[in-house]
Amino acid sequence: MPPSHRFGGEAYNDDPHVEKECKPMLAILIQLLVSGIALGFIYALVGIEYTLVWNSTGLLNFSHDKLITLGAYIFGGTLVLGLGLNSWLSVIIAMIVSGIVGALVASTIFNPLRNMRSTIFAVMGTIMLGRILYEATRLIWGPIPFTVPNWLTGNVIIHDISITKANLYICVVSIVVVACLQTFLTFTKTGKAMRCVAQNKKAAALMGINVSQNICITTGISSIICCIIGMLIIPLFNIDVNMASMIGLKGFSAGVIGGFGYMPGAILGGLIIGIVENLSVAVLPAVYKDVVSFVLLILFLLVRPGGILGKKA
Amino acid sequence: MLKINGIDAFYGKVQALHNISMEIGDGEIISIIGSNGAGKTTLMNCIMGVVKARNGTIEYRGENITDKKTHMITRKGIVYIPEGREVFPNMTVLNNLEMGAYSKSFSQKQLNEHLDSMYELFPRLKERASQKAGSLSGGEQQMLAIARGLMSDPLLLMCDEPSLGLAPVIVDDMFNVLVRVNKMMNIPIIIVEQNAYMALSVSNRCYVLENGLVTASGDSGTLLNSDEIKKAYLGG
Repeated sequence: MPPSHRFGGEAYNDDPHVEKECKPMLAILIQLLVSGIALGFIYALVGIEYTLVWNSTGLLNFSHDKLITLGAYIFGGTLVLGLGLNSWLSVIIAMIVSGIVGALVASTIFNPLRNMRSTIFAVMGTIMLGRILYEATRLIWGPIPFTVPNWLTGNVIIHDISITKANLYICVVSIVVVACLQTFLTFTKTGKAMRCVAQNKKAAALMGINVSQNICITTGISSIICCIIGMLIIPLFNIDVNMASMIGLKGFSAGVIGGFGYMPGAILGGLIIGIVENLSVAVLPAVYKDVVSFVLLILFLLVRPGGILGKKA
Repeated sequence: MLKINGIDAFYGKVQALHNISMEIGDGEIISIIGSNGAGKTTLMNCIMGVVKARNGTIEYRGENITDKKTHMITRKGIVYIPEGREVFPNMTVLNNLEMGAYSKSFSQKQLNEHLDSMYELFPRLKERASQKAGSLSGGEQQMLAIARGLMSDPLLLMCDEPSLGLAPVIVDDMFNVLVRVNKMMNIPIIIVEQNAYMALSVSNRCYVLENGLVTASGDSGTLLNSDEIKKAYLGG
């Protein structure tokens, strides 16, 4: 996968430097660690985004990586480059549009299909939606990858250590998103209702909660997080129809490793994958980077299928 | 208050309820008894709109609620405490109680007043307020389920198998509480039970359900002494 190679490659390119003196080796490790943490946060956000839907509907949204791509295209392709809007205004509009898209997905796929005899109907629905979104983005914005100039670019240099601003933004924004989501789920009436729906739909309806409407809200929030992920990874992967396929899969691994359906698990799993695969570049050839997280996934499925924080099944 | 006119209900092709009619008046305690699989819970689910009745109507305070969604029926004041308690296991007792009042827009003060009255009814819940509901004992969970139901000031309370899986001492407590609630809040209560003796002794009237049919109904005292009921449900 060229995009991820590109990401780790930045630090890797400094390698000749290492042979000259010993000190930069530490600097490189720190750089790898920081980019690992940043990527880990991205995986964690992916994990959170589909865990929300999974808990709320009992279904996996197989179109989630396409929603991430869509968010990036709406932001970069239409709002910033197409309409020439200010970046921060574009961020807000893109998030609102994504939220509406998410609610539409819930009301056209999850709610009508979740009570069918088998969950396969809804799952097929999300897979088809993924195909539709994929082809739609290609038709609307074209197949050629592009990027948004001056969006989260630049470096911060402390002594020998050079850290891209994108990585810092990713860490800060992810922490803010997690904190906001947690506050929302713990303190607001709608957030509490979302937790009720996740735990017991029948009892939630008996409390007077409109379960279908609540699922729309949850999917909308999940879709907003997808959009945030999409905007954050533009400086790393460019805007491309396949930009989120790999992180979509790795976000899934993050959930399995941390504990499926459990949000702190998704965060822990994401960070572990991000850090381990980035540090693996120091010992393994960089092309094996993507292998690491999937080896971890398989190991966990074999040895501890409940994940690190998950309850034993 | 609630009037059920000849409803039929199906699970797939299997008919679970046959032409059930019953009526619940203001301030009454009604019990519905019957063996496992008689259709008691299905009847409750029909009233709440969880299972849709195919024929017949359900009228609540003069309004047809047969085709209403569950959450709308709850908002109208019918509270159903489901079989098996169905508390939210990963939320604290306090959060569970707060969710009971979801359908009402209480101010913080009103909410606290309601919480206080529930703690008064079940002092045990106050001690456990910050504990996860899933860690409570069966009896405590049943108390929580009843208290959660009462948080929204119901106009009609329906309690499904309040004695299920509880120790005999606690069963007595549970029924005492229901009688107290009936007197205190002056609301009608429907008790669905397999424990026929207990249900008959606290209720005013009773319906006996067998294979989806009402086979007997009438004054609880009379039924308690009827030979057939004694033989079928009270162990001779």
